[in-house]
Amino acid sequence: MGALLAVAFLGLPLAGLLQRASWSTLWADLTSEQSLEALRLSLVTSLAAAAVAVLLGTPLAWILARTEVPGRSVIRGLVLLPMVVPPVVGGVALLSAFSLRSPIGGWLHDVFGLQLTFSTAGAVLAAAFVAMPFLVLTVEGALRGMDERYERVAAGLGADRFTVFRRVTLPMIGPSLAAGAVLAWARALGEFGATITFAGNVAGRTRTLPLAVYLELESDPQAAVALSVALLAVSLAVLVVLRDRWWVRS
Amino acid sequence: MSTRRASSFVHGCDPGRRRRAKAVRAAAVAVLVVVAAVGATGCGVEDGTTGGAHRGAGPNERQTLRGNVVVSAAASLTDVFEELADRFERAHPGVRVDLDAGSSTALATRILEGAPADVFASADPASMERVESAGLVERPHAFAGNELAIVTRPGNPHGITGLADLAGHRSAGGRTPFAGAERHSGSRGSGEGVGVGIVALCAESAPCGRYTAALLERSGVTIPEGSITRGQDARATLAAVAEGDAAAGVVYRSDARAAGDRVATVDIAGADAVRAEYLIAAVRNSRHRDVARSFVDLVRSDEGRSLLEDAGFTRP
Repeated sequence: MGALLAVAFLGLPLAGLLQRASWSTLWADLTSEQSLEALRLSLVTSLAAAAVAVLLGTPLAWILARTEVPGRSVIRGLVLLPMVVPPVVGGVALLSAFSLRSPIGGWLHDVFGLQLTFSTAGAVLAAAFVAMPFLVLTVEGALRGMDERYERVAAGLGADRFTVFRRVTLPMIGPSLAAGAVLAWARALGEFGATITFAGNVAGRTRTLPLAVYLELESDPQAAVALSVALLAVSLAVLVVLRDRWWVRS
Repeated sequence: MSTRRASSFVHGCDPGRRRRAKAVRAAAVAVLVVVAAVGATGCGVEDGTTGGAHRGAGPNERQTLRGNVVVSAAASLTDVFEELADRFERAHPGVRVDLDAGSSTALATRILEGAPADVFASADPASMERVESAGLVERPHAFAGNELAIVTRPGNPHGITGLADLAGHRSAGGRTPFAGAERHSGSRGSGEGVGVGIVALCAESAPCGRYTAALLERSGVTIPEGSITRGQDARATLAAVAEGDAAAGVVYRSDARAAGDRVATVDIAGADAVRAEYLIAAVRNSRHRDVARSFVDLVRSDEGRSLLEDAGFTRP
């Protein structure tokens, strides 16, 4: 009975969304100038955020799984924090670290002329901040589950650390790395709170799909629903891509 | 959009005592006791009937109010309505007021879709008309006005004097260190081609966004969309300047006042040409319509009006 309620609770909002969508104008709503702009921006920022997560998160996952660095539990906590902290709070935190009034943000601007707030780079930063944990946790789990003897043998045969990682570790955790990257990308694509708080809501620069949905809900609900359906379709696609990890294997 | 629970506990009155008093059945006795309690603790206000001639409250109808009400109010009203809600709760111990603040457009949409609101206070007549024409509210009353103003960072480092300065016409001037204030702000203000940097405006769907668009049009000023960040309501727009990196923003005068020294305020010449008009109405199918009406009365009373004026609102 409880399970039934849970299924209804999870399923009804989706059904409501699909029922509310005006299918005949869906394509027109999705290809309007504003929608395309938000769509393009969302693709750019979410892919960039996923790339940042892979580039920075993989080494971090390796350190968490393979080394005994002091303060590892603190690092692990830092990694988990963006998952549990409300994204808006993350945005405020980013603001206090990187706004023009903050020491770092002011320095970045004075020395490099770089302003993260209200810029696409800022939107990427906000998305990467919330998306990185998904990659780190996925990759760390894979590293822990992997048989370390392969690495030791490679090292014993004279390979240096980087070669071991590139030729042995990476191929073995490849599927998990890809899954983590897809998860991080999906999270980045849906990012709202940190983005609107930190990067603002500038058309063509930081107004990603979720921001456009939120804003258009008031002026053009039909377009908002169309964009929501598009995001839902993407999420479903992610589930299908990752189905082996969650559905079949378990 | 925040829902907030106004607590009467923080104000040093003892709600428990009056809640017990309220439990007395006979209405007349209850009124007496409440009046006595309010008088004794010195933290009451008048019953909210000052502007409530339409209630026709006979002596038997003046029973104590009770129930939880949701007040959906334009974001710009947040501080004043929080204060009024506190006073209202203190005067009526059986009443709890939850404030739902946001863009009037969004609030109207939510009420139209069946959100349980008891009072609706809109920052423009259009939003009120949407719910009124659907027959969802009682007769609306104009209760306040407002004007737009420019807010900048404290000290107005870019030397903004009017709307035209927001459109980026002064990019060359802003870059030249001819004035002390400009020099002081260093290179931070000089974006590429954009005069002052990012300007925060309200979303075009929100009343403040519509007022701003009208005022910009009257002034013949066009701000490039690429240098505008849009806040979903007046307070979000204010926050982009007060807490964020927006160089300037256009918000209500009352918002500018609420931000205190976190922003500098620049008057807009001819701002009175576009005046915001605030309307309030009790929601028709409210479960506590007497409470809703009484709150409307409080907002429209001399007490409400003077609070609104202190906060920078004008008379309706």
